[in-house]
Amino acid sequence: MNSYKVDMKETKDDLVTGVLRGDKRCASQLMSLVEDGWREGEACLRRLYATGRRAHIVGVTGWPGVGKSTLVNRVARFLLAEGKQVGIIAVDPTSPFSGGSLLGDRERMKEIDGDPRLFIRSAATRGHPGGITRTTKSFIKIMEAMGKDVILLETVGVGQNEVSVIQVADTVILTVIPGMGDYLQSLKAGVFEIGDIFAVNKADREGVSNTVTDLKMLIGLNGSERDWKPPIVKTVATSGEGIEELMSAVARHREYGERCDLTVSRRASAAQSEILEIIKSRILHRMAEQSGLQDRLERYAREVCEGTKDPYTVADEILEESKIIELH
Amino acid sequence: MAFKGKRFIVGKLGLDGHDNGLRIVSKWLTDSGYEVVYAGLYNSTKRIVQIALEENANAIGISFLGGEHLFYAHQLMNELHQNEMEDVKVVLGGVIPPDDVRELKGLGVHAVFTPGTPKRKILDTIDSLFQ
Amino acid sequence: MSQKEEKMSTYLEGERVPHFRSLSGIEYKEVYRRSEWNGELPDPGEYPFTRGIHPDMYRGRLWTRRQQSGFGTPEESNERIKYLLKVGQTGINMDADVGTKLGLDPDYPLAQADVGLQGTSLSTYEDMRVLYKDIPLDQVSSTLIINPPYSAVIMAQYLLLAKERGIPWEKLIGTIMNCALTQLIGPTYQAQISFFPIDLTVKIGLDVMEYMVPRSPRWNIVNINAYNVRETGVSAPQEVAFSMSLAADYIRRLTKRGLEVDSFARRMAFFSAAHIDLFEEVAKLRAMRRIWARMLKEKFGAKNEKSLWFRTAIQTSALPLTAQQPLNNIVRATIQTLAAVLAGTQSIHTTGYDEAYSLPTEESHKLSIRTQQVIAYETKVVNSADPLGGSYLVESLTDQIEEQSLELMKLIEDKGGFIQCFKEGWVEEQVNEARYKMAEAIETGDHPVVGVNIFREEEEDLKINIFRHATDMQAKRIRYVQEYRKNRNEEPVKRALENLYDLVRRKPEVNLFEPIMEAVEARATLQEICDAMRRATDFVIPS
Repeated sequence: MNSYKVDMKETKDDLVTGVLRGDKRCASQLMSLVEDGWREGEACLRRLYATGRRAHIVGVTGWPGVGKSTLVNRVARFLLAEGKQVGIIAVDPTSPFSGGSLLGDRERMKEIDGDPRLFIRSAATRGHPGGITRTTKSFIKIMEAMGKDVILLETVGVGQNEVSVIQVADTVILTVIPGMGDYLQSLKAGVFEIGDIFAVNKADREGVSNTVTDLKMLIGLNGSERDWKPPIVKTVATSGEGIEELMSAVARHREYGERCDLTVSRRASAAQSEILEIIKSRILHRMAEQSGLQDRLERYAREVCEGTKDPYTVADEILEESKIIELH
Repeated sequence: MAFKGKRFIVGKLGLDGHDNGLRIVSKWLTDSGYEVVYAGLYNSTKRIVQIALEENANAIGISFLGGEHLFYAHQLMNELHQNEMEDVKVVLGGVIPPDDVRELKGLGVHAVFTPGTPKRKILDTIDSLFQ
Repeated sequence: MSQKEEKMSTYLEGERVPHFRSLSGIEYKEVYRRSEWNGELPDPGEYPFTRGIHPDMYRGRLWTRRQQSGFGTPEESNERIKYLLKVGQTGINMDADVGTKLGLDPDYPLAQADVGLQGTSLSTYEDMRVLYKDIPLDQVSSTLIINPPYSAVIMAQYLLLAKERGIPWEKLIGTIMNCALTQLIGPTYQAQISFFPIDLTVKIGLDVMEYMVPRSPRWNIVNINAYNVRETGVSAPQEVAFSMSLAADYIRRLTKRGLEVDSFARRMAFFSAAHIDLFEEVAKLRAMRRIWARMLKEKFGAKNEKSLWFRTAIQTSALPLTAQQPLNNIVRATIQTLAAVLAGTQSIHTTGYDEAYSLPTEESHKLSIRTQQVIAYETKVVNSADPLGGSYLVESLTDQIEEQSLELMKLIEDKGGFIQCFKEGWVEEQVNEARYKMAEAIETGDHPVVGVNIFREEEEDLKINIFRHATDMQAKRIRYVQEYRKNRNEEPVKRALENLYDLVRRKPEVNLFEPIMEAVEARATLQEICDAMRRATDFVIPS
C-alpha cells in the first residue's frame, strides 16, 4: 500500500478542506486512498458528496487507436481557453497476467499538462473489465468537489462492458476512425445507443464519407426512439480541425440534457446502481472479515466440482453461517 | 504476478530523444506488476514533479543519454524537496560515468542503472526500494 | 555442478554459439554451394549495380573518411574539424545539437541543459561563419546533419556564407541530410510531432531539395536516414524497406512538383548502418544497390544512369557497442568498418569506443580515422571491386534480403507509403516490437554480447578517458544568443519574420526556402524563424 503521512485522523480533515480549495496534492492523495480501498477515503468522500458541487461530465470512448487521448487533449485545450476548470481521468487496462499497467494517455496531452486549472489523473482498470468502477465515480466526485467545471473521462474501449460509461457521463462522445465500417456493422446494438455524439477522428484519411454514411445508418437503426439525434462530427485531433464543431455539439447536448431532465434522470439511475454496488461490496466485505471464509469457499468449491453439493445450496449455507442475512 | 501497489512516473527531461531504454524498462516494470505513468519525452523538471504529485506516484524513473544528468538530477531533487515529496523514490538510468554515479547517489538518488545492467538486477533493486 | 565446473565442461566439450541465425533472423546454412546460385552477376558499374556503381571502385578513389563531429560552441567545433582534417579526415561531417535539431535557441528553458552536448549548437548566421572559419567550402565536402524544417535555416546559412566568401553555389560539394521523419532519434512519433507540425516538416524538406537541385549540381539534397531506425533494433530488411519506401515517397512528391526524376535522383543518397553481422551487412548494401537501381528505372522511369546509382554514407552502428569493457568496442567498430568497405560505400564514420560514455575524445576520434586508414592502406581489401561477390553465401544472402525487403516495401506501398505509415503509428509499432525483442534476446543470452551477457567482469575498472565539456560552454552560448538579439537592427528581422508568417498562413504551397533565407540574412535566429512558422499554424511546443 502507498505510504502516507502517518496520522490519518488529522490529515482527513486537511484532505477534505484541501480538495474543496482545489488543492492538487490533497485531491491526489485522496484519490489514492479511495483507489486502494482505505476506509478513511470513504469518510472523506461522504463529506464531499454533501457539498453538492456539480460538473459536466463528458465521456470519450472508442476503440484503441482511434486517437482518444489526442482528442481529449484538444477538447481540454478548448475548454481551458474558455477559462474553464478542467479535470481529466484517463483509464488504461491493467494486465490480467502481471497486475501492472502502462498508463500512456497523458503523454498525448503535453500541450496542456501543467496548466494550473487542469488536473489529470491516470487510472488503471485493476481487474474491472469495463474500467468504470466505483473508483472512477469517486474520482469524478473528488474533481467536482475541487471546483472543476468539466470533467473528461477517457475510457479504455468499446464493447459490451463499455456500456457502463453512460452511468457516469452526462455526454458520451463515441469515437471512430475511417475504415471501421465492417467492424462497426458487427457490433451489437447497445453500443450505438450509448453515443450522444459521434466523432469520426483522423478524418483526413480515406474512407471518411463511407464511415459517416455507415454510422448514420447504424445510429438510425438503433436509436430511433431517442429524442436526441446524435450528431456526427468529423475531426482531425492532431491538427485541431473539427474541434469547434465538436464542442458546440457538446454544449448543445449539455443544454438539452438540462432542459429535458435527461441529465437528472441519468444521474439518478447512476446513483441507484452506485448504492446497490456499495451494498453488495459491504456485504462481501463483512463476510470476508469473518475468518476462514476463503478456506471454506475453496472447500465448498471443490465439493461443487465433485458433484457432492450444488452452488445454490452452498451459497445459502454461507449466508446462513455468516448471519448477515436471515433466509428463513 | 500481482499488482505491486506502486506507481512509477517514467520519462525523460530536456530535449534528448533516445527513448529505447525508457520504453524497455517501462515494459519490464509493467510486466512486473507496477503501474507506470509514461511521461515520454520533453519534460521539464517542474512538469515531472507535477505529474508525480497528481498521480500520487511512489517513484520517478528518468533516463539520460546526453550527459545532462547532473544538471537535471540537482534540479529534480530540489524540486521534490520544495514540494515536500522526499518520500518519492528517484531512479535514474542511462549513459552515466562511474564518478557521476557516486555524485548522484550523494544527492539522494536511490538507484542508478548504467547500460548493460541485466533486467533481473534492475527489477530486484527497484523492488527492494519499497520494502 | 558449480559454476566453475560448468565453465570447465563448456570448454572441454566445445564452446558453441547459441544459434546460427543472422542478426536479422535469417538462417545461415551449414555450407553454401554452387548449385544454389544461378551464377549471374553483372560487373561493377553495370545495371543493376549489385557489385558496385563504379567499375574501379576504391582503385579510382577511396571512400571518404567522414567522422561526425560537433559539440559545444561553433568555435570548439571548428577546432575539432581542423584537428580531424589534420589527422587524415577527408570530409567534414557536422552534427548539430538537440536544440538545433528541434528548432530551439540555446536560451529556451527546456533547451538550456542540453545545449552543445550531443552536437554543435547553431543558431545564427554568424555561428555558421565561425564554424567554418579557415575552411575552404569549395575544396572540401561537408555533410550537414540537420533535419527538416531546420535544415532550411542551416542550408540558408551555408549558402549565405559561400556567397559572402565569393564562392559560387555551383561549386559547393557536400550534403545536407535533410531527412524528415527518420532522422530524429527513434524515429519516435512523439519526437516528430512535438516541435513542428509534421506535414510542414515534410514539405519544407522537399522545398530545400527543390531549391538546391538547379543551383548546386554537386550538392546532395538528402541522405535518407536508415541508420537511426536501425539503431532501435529493427532488422536489415526493415532498414532497407523503410528507407527505400521513404525515398519513393520523396521522389513521388518531387515529381508531383514538376521536377524530372533525372534532374534530382542523382543527388539523393542514403545514410545507412554497418552492423556487426559482417556478411549480412555486405549482402544488405548489395541488395540496396539492386533495389534502388530497379526502383528508379522501372517504377520512376529514370533514364540517366547516374540516377540509378545507389550512394550511401555509412556509420558503424553504435547498437553493438557496450559500456562494459569499452576497449572491446575498438574490435567491433573495426569489423563493422571492414564490412562497410567490403560492401562498397561512399563514406564511413567509424563509431568511437567511448560511444557508450560520451562524445569522442580527440584520441578516440583519431583512432576511428586510423582504423579506416589501416584498412585502406594495409589490408589490400581495396584492390578489387566487390571482393565478396561470387561467394555463394553472400549472393544467397543478397537475394534473401532483397526478397524480404521488397515484400515489406510492397506492404508499405499498399498501406499508403512510408510517410502515411509513419503518421499512423505503424512504423512506431514495428520499432517498438523490435526493441523489445532485442532487449529480451540480450536478457536471455540468445543474442550474445561479450562483457554484458557472456564473459562479464563484475568489478570493472574503467580505464579510458572520457570526454568532458568545458564547464562554461552552455552559459557562454546562452549569453551569446541573448546578446545577439539585442545588438542587431530589429526592423529587417521583423519584416522578414512577418513575411514568413504570412506565407505560411495564407500561401502554404509556396516554396519557403527563399523567405527563410531572407530571414537568416536579416539576422533572425533559428528559433525566431521557426516560431514564426509555428505561430502561423497555431502550433504549441512543450515548455
